[in-house]
Amino acid sequence: MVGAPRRPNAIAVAAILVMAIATGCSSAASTNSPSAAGSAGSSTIAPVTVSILLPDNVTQRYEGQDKPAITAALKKYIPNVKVDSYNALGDGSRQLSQAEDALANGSKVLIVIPQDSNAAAAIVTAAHKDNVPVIAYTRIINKSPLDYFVGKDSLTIGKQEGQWMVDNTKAGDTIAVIDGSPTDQNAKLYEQGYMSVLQPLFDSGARKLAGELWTANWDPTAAQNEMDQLLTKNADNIHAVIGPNDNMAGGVVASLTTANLAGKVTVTGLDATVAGLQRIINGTQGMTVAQDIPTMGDRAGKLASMLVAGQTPPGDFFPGTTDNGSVKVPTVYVNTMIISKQNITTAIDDGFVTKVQLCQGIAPGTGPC
Amino acid sequence: MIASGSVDGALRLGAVDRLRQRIGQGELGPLPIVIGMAVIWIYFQIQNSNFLTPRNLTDLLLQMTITGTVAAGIVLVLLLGEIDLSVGSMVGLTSAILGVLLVQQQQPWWVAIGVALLVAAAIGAAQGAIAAYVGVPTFVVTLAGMLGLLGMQLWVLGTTGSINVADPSVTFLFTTYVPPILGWLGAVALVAGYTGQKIYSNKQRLRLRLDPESWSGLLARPALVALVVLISVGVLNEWHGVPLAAFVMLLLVAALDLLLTETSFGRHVFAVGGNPEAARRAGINVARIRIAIFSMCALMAGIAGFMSVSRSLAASTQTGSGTLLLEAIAAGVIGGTSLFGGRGSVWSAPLGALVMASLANGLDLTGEPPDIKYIVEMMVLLVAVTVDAVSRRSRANSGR
Repeated sequence: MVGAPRRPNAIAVAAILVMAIATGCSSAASTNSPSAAGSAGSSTIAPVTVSILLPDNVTQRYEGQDKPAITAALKKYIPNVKVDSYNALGDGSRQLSQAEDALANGSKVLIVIPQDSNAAAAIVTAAHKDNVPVIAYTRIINKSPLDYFVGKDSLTIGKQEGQWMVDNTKAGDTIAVIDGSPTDQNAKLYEQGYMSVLQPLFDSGARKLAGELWTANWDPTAAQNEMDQLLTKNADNIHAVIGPNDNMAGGVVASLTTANLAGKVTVTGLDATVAGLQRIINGTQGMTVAQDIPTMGDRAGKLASMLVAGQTPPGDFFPGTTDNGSVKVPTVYVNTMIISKQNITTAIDDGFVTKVQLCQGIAPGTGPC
Repeated sequence: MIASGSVDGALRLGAVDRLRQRIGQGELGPLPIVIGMAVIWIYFQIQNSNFLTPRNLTDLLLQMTITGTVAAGIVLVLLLGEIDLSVGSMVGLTSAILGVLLVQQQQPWWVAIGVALLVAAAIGAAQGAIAAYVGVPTFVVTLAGMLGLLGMQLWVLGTTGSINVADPSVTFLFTTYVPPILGWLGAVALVAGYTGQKIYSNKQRLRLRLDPESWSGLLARPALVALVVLISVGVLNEWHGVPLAAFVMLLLVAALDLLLTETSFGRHVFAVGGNPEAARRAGINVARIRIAIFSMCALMAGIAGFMSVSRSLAASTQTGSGTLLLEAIAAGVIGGTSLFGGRGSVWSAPLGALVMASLANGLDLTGEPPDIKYIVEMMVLLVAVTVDAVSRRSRANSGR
């Protein structure tokens, strides 16, 4: 030990592990990228600030689809709007700081995709202190006096997925269930949804349950390993798999490919990603669920414009309410659609993907390519 | 303390005595991990009879290959008493480059793979150079690298998010198995090579008038290796054969091990890891060693990036994220490489990775949720670093 000045000591080593854990999933830098737009030309009207708080930069749709859709709607309905957007990079406490920054910058409305559905209650509290309304977008904020929710109905999507599974398997088939992240409220709602359809069949013996596993962080690698294990456990006797989203369905299909079962086992997905749609064309994935993100963004923008103008949104703006554990939150549900091989062209027609994107790496003449 | 054998005066000690002496002095080597692995395997076999089947053991090997490859690179860095936190993002970046070049840009496979590996090696060398010449701690340099490389990964992937890769020039690695006959031949060649190397290095010791090992000590390890290798090949041949990916990983580890134990470069690595100042005064170019090792570590991560595209048939924004970095560091430490530099072996990487994969695999088979997995991994990691710390203390006590 003597004369080893550059050797890291135990504290440094502990710090390494702690830091590595703290930064393991995502990056640690704080990005506060006010993508200010608005109408610089019409200088007579003071700009109104609306802030968008995104949860992470790893899931493609938030920065790539939701932010542009909301921003476009805000500009359409509020001519003098200044849109600030923040990305929490997968860190719930960073998102709270960013919400405080947004309020300090004079935001009139917060549109929040909570990183953590429970911890984000603090964001609602902070906003209400400044009399700023909060719109939860795509994920609900639990146990808080949340003002509005614009999003999908995860429970119903789960039920549709379960029903699709029933329709596409036959009596006596064995079904494996791979769930999403146990920390994500949506993953639990999906699970409740499809299990509400499937559990009675498992109980009656009309279908057999091959096993159910939850997957931390929606990790496709973990899903692939889990599928390996479920195949081993059931000696390959699995006819269908509930895969909670397209990324994880990709892991499941990779596992099935190794076992020479890809295309023979029905796999479900969610999110209508390009990779997922390509697997549907190739026949290795059965279905995915597309959300109407342009409409979702449009509704959030329209709602924000009414709030900025000081209007109370009319009751018929909200087709339903969502119980978040404290209040019944007025809710705009956005349509979802099951996409399978039969209606894959609608994915192109409705603008989820371009044909060029979809057909990259797919043999010409396969499906719509 | 450089070479693996110990010099104990003129006395020729038998294998058992030598082992007892080593344990007394805290030279545990792979012993704790082997015992730990046996306990884990027996436990899971009792819980679920599918665990020790040829099929599941094949899956297990495939599941540990990527972590093992990354961990082998990490072990190199740990031997210097340094750390590389950027390897997870490096896996992500190289997989993204590979996917984009291969599928979106329609480049031939050798261009895609070549560019990905070159980028990895160059970035690793740059990180090593910043640490060596500017004097920034590698912890900070590679932390910055972790963030920057993640950014580059997302930038390379663009708005696509996830790219399916079905090109057989990439996917072959995880779908190919070594034919049984070749597996047996390879096993025999491996054992023969290892035995030959042991005998050769003993001759070298004699030539240099160093205390040679006794015959029992000389042949005990090759016999043990032969046993493990032959049983493994036999079991794997019961399913599809030795998985090519795992075989490649083991070849890489064996090559790195030869480099570290049989070349002057390797001795310099241990010397720098043990005491950089003493190594510098002995005339070793410490900066060059650092740069080379960080470049090699990054290259291993790049190869792992290629492997993860091959295994998951896709490159996505999630590739290399999550717990890969932590598992790779944990694998090195669990395998018995000291976090304090200068002590360990590249073989600790596959061993540690196998333990981690066994836990995840067994807990899936028994249907445990992720919370249990994390808690169990924590306990195994704690036990491993405790063994390291305690054996370090007993080494200090015996004056080594």
